[in-house]
Amino acid sequence: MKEISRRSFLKGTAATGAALGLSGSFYNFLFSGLEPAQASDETGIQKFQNACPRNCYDTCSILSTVENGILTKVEGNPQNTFTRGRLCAKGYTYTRRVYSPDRIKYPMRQNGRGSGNWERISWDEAYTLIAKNILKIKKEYGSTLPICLNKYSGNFDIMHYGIEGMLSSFGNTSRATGTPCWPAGIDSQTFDMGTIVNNDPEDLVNSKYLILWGVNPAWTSVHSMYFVQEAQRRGCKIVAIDPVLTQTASKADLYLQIKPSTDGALALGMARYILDHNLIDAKWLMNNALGYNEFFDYLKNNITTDWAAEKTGLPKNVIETLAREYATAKPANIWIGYGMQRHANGGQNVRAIDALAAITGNIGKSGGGAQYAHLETWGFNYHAMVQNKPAGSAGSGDRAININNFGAEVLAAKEPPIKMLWIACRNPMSQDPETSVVKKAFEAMDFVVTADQFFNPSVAMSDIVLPVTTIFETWGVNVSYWHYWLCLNQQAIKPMYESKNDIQIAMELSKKMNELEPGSCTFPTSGDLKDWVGKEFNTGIYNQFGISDWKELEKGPVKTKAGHVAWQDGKFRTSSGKYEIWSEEAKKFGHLPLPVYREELKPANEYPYRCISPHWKLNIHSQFQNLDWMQAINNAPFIEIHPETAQKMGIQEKDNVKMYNDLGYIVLPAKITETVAQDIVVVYEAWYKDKNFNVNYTVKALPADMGKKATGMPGMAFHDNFVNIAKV
Amino acid sequence: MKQNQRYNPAEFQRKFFVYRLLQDYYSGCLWQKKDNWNEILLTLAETRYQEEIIFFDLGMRLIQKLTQEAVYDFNRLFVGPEKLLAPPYESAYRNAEGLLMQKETTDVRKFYSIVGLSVVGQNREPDDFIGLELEFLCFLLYQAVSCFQRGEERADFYLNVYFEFLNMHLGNWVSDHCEDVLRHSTSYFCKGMAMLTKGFIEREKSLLMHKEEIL
Ligand code: SF4
Repeated sequence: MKEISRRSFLKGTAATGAALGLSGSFYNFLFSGLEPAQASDETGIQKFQNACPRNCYDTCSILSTVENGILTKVEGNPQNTFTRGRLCAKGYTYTRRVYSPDRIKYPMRQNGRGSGNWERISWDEAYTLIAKNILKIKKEYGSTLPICLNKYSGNFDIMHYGIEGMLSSFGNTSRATGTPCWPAGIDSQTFDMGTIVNNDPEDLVNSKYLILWGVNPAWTSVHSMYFVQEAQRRGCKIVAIDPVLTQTASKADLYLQIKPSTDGALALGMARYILDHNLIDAKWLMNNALGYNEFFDYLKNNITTDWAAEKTGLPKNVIETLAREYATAKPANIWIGYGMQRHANGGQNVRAIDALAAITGNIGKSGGGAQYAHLETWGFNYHAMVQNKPAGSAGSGDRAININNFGAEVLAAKEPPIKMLWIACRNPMSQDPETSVVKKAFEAMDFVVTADQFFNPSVAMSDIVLPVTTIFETWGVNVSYWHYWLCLNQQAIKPMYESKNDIQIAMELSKKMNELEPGSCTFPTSGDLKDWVGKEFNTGIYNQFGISDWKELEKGPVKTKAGHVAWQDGKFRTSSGKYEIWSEEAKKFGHLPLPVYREELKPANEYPYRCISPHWKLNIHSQFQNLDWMQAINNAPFIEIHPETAQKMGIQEKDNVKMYNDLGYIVLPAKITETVAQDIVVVYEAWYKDKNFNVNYTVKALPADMGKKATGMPGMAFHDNFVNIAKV
Repeated sequence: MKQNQRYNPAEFQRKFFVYRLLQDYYSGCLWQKKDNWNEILLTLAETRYQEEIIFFDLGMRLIQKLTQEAVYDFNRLFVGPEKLLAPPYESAYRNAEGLLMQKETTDVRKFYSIVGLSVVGQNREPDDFIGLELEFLCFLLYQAVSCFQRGEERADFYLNVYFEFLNMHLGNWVSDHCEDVLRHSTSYFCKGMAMLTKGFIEREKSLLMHKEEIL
């Protein structure tokens, strides 16, 4: 009886009805969705280790409570001294994500991309359709290069890199390459120091002076904010530099409203003052740095604090005081945010800020440094990711498609063209610049597959959608690009509905492809996901974290044993082994070797306002804002406008405002606030469920200056978006 | 004699048929029955519920054709992948926050366990999915009449559970749910099925008032 599926039961109904003619005797009762109760191993209360895998500094360790097989509670794991027993508002909504009635539950096919005409299909049907399309493309074009993957930061679990592995296992494919978030800054620090490494954020408490430069941890890294405020309690002066008076800035001892994209000018002005007043750490420079004399010559010949004042809009005496305080407080720390490098001169600006930390000898010190990010704990095997291509795969390698100009590059790809998209851990229709071009690219495809948890604008433009598991329904392992903890993600509950982990999808698709064409896909066709987690570990990771087996993580997260102060050993990973203020490597990538000022972009006449589209407190890109608790706090986008600007444009609070440029427009209500400057407007980037709002309709695919070296593609100048506004 | 009326097999047969039909509808397997649809309609007409339940009558008029448009409509209402217009889960209506797998769901689970049942692959599909609640009610009726036919006393027990479940669960939310369908549906078919469901369950619920007469 147990075996009878819902589908096969139907025969029962018709037979019953027809044969009985409503009289006669009963047949045996045929169960379909119910069954005589089985003994269950899901009884009582259990606790599980989980990790928040989102693109968030904090990568929290989560303790999950499961009662009778149902996830009832999530909380921060107190064993993790960074998470400290708490999650953020977004994290606490996780139960809502798992049990939202709006989850994608089954594989479905849309008859007509964007039509909303969806049909439920079985997994087998889905695999067959996908496999046939892949094989057809391969036959028609002689390679799998017409298949393009766009996967990124929706889930940073290490095993999820198996999605890239799945594409490799088809053959050579096209890949959305690069990252929209942080590449310019990564390259800057790579030119300066050889790579990105930051001090343990728990070390922030040791700072005597802390500049939060273009970063808003009160919204985007709440756990770091604890350490910032703890430092403040211990007497550290907190300075926030930001074009927007953020919630973080409101807690600082000093807030400087800088003109956007002029951060390099401020850093260089400060450097000039520090040099003039002999506040440099000559000894540190002599021992550790290259090119500082050239840099000092540049400062002397080109930079003045008057110039910096004019550029940045900050009073000269404030710049000088800041420079003096920063250079004399020991140790002094700078946290460089990702927002400030999303400009056409963003990379160069970060190099100038790094140089400040270098000339004052703050690098390599507890409580000091120029914090950006790190990848020190990411040395896994990438067992799921590394897959061989099938023997005889055509093409000479994967083809890179710039993730930051995805729509245009997909459309422009030739020989062969791109015909199929696989979208996972990503929502390009919301998050990419130039949304209308991205939409055209989706429209031009023969076949689009999206794997996701919720319906969103990218799913709307797909032919097939595959339901994927939440973190509680599968295995994984997580580390952070900010803190130094390692956390296992245990499967706590069964996958709801028919959801599957992306890796399981890869395995089962591979099985289907090999059925249809033996040898066409190299991805393993079976495997236990828990075992696969184990296969990601190696002795390097074990030594780094002081464990001897990954199963020890079932008891709780662990932290690296050493390396909590970046560059403490003075061994920079540049080719010279020194901090390179003069970088030959930068030159090779077409930049100036010194962190000289690169002019910021300025508004044109028709588009006099700069639109900054920073992160919003209730979401991470297109995740979380769609959940009911977040909607209850705020469920409508808005545009922040300075009172004087609003008055000039005849705009009042809550008036509908059209924000536009030659690319497109959006209409949204005004929020009039002095937290923004007169010449900028702020629209927080977000995806609101059921709302036709997307700031990226106005954002050009304008590259940042750097990013190519470390990430393969330049970054994205999201904050160089010039617009006009009008009341509608 | 009274006993016999209480467990009138013909009456159970027609209920049984309607429950099975609704259950199959919500489970998404009616669509494979396109070819037999006329046959099913005939059997449905034989129940003669249309003569006593106005919504049933109206509903039957609307479900004469099973179209592809209805399939898409059905998925928009109950399946996805978009936000569901009429979620087919009790907790979506009765949980204060519209969340699934909460107390409302486990309360249903407890009911199932009273008669020794549970959901296949428990904790994958919410126990309070309408298809499961319908199957449960159908099972209770089946047990009641089977026990009766075997002369077992447990018949009354099953019938009691039947009315209690109707009263505490399905009967409490199905109208709101059907209203949602009627509000959002774009096909005659799904509107018709909503009327049929609403009419039928409301009638069953109303029998509760006269439970003593029936029992
Ligand atoms: S979003 Fe960030 S802060 Fe919030 S729970 Fe996840 S990792 Fe923690």
